[in-house]
Amino acid sequence: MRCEVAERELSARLDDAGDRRLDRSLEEHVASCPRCRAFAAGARRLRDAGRLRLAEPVPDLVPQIMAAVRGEARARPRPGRSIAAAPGWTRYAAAFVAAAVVAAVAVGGLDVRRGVAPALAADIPDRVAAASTEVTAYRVTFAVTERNFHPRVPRRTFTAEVTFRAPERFLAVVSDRTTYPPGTWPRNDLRLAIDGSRWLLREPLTCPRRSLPACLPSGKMTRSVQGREPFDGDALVPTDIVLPVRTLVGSDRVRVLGEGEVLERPTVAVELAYRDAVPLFGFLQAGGAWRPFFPHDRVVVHLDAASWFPLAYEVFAYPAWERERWAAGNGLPREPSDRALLEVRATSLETSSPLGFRPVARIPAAAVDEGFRDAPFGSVAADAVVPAHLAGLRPYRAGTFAASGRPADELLLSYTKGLAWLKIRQTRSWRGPGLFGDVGELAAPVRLPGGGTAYYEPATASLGRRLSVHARGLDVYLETNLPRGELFRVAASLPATGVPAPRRWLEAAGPGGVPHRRVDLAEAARKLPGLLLPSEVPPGYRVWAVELIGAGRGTAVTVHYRRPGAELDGAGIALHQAPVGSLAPPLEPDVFVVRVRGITGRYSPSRGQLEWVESGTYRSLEGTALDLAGLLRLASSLEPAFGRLGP
Amino acid sequence: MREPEPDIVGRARAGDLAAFEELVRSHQGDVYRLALHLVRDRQTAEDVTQEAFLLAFRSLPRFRGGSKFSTWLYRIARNCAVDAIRRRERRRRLERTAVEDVPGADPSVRAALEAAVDGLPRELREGFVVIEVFGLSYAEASAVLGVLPGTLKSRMHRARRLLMEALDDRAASGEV
Repeated sequence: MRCEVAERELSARLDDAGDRRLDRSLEEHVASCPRCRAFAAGARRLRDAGRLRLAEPVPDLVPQIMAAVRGEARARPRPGRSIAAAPGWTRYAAAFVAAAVVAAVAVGGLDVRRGVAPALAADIPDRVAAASTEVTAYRVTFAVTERNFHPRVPRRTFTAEVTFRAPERFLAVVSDRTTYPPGTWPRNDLRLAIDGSRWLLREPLTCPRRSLPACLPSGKMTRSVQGREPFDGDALVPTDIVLPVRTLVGSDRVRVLGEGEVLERPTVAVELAYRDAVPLFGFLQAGGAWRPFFPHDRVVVHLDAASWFPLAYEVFAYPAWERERWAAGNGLPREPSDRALLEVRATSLETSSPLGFRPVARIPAAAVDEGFRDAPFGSVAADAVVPAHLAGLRPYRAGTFAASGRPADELLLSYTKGLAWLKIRQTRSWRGPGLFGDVGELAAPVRLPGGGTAYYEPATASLGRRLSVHARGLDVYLETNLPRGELFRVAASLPATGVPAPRRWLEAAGPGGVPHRRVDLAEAARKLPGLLLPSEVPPGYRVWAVELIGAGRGTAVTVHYRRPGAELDGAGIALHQAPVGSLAPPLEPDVFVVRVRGITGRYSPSRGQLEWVESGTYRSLEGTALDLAGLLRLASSLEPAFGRLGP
Repeated sequence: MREPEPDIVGRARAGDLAAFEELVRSHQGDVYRLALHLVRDRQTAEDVTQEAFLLAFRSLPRFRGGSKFSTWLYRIARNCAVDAIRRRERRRRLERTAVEDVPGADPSVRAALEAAVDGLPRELREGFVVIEVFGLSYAEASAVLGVLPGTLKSRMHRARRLLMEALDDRAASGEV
């Protein structure tokens, strides 16, 4: 037998593929051939080394594979019916809905069965609110895929582990699993830890050295806070990822798409705009570097139909030309509206957290002190007015403030149950200007049940529903994620009756010391002769406030439109007009030129603002609830005010 | 070498997504490892894995059980990987970018072996990977790769010989 044949046979025998007929001649050859024996030994060593490779870690690709498979399995929808004939706002709304429905069904994302009882949409906020008091602990792992972070990094993958124990113990660990190309790419590993008064975020330094040589070489930085007040809006516990209480309160901005299934649990799929869904991303985007999203990008959230936990969500590009302009300006490629730009999927879920879960073991000495000082609840409450009705919540933290610039006698009491919370700040020494607490000059006076006046502002992305009560010798500020009616009942049960705040508090509250005055439209039209007003506003909006800003010949007018029942509507729509003949330098880098009413103007997607100069007067329409088409439509309906309001 | 319950394959063929997901779950590791061995970078291996399962899903109605499910799936995965390699090589000719090393291997014989496997011509490498690393029989490998068992036998021999020589060269030059 030749060595060549013997070696091939030895090799095949290792693989149990030997030829039995060659047994004898092979044996004879190998016994007398050191070269073939060396080959056999070497091949066995290769096998031993090769076996190790089976330990290669394998990523969990099931969510993304099944998403692709489901997209494949789903029949493509027929094109939506024509909407060209529908007039006015209906047409605009129909266009949005049609685009949304087609995309939601055609996306490569999770399966959605259409046809949920319509009553459900209106019910969701109440059901979420009811569920919020029941959640005490939670632990979830998400698989996250992000696309188009950078031309050289078209896809990044992460795992995010979130552990929560009510009310304010929270840990999110985001681990970057991306394979980056050669070069300095900071791994986007994040750790956000919150434990009552302490808050800590570790994130990568996000400047890549390649483009910024002065960038510090070390990879991490830590920001930390102590003396944090309970449920602080600036260092918020991003609990919407546990239960989207904030996100879903704006129920009229949420559309129910259908039913689906994630982690073998039945889900309800809802859709909302990215700007309304921001609280859902808080645990990811607390730090690090992420791709940008357009305010009108669509977010599809799959909520567990029993617990209302968000089990998956995806972001899709908003199909509009201004979004393409915006994308080009942000260095993003063309992004089709049927491909998820960000996918977050739960891969495991438990409704428990480890015993003795303490997310912040130690706070760095350099932590910023926000000045809140915890004190025993009973001793603080003894000095405070306390509502008789607490909506079933129980005492949590209480204390005082050591920060300067606050009333010396300011007290805080907080209450909680599950994810529901309420905090009450009060002082006897508030002298204005402005209302006490985090309410602005546009807070609406409301009548509380059983009498009394208070000033209300709806929730924003970082603040809850807010109420400021001015009583004789006492100012109370209440903030909560409870429904508005519940907040009003709590305020009404205070042993103090709200009265209208002094007029000068409300008028002097403008920024920069520029006088502000609330007037009616007729007076505004007299003060600014070229004033334009819309002949038609989007459904649900009405005039909320009219302000005169400044005095004399330079007087400007802002008309605020809001939807009275809306939550999370931002500042609604603001129409600002000033006797200035030119546009100021833009406030945002993302502006671009558009034609408004036949005039060259500009548009900023991030501010949702359209600006132009017409008849020597600066005009601006601002409202993130409207996309460019909506803003242009509103602009085109503007007409001189004097014709309608009289001289 | 895990072989799924025939029942699960049958249900998946009938369009049961839960059953297909079961198949993805039980086979993603093997498909991914096979892809990784062939394409040598994790990102591409993930893409190949996804593509392979998607193709498998599309072709499942035509799978008649003539071979083992896993063999059939590996064949799809191998074809996807070969396509990915071709695409990458085309791109690399244009861009001349460096090949990524799979990190995490310890700097020992194993790393040297990996480098040596990388250096094999593709026909030898894929045979070596499916037989040596995945433990497929020659008959199965023949089905996956579309080559006759006798050819595989020769290729395995040549692969082993080349690998031993490569490792000996490294040892001789003090790299290992």
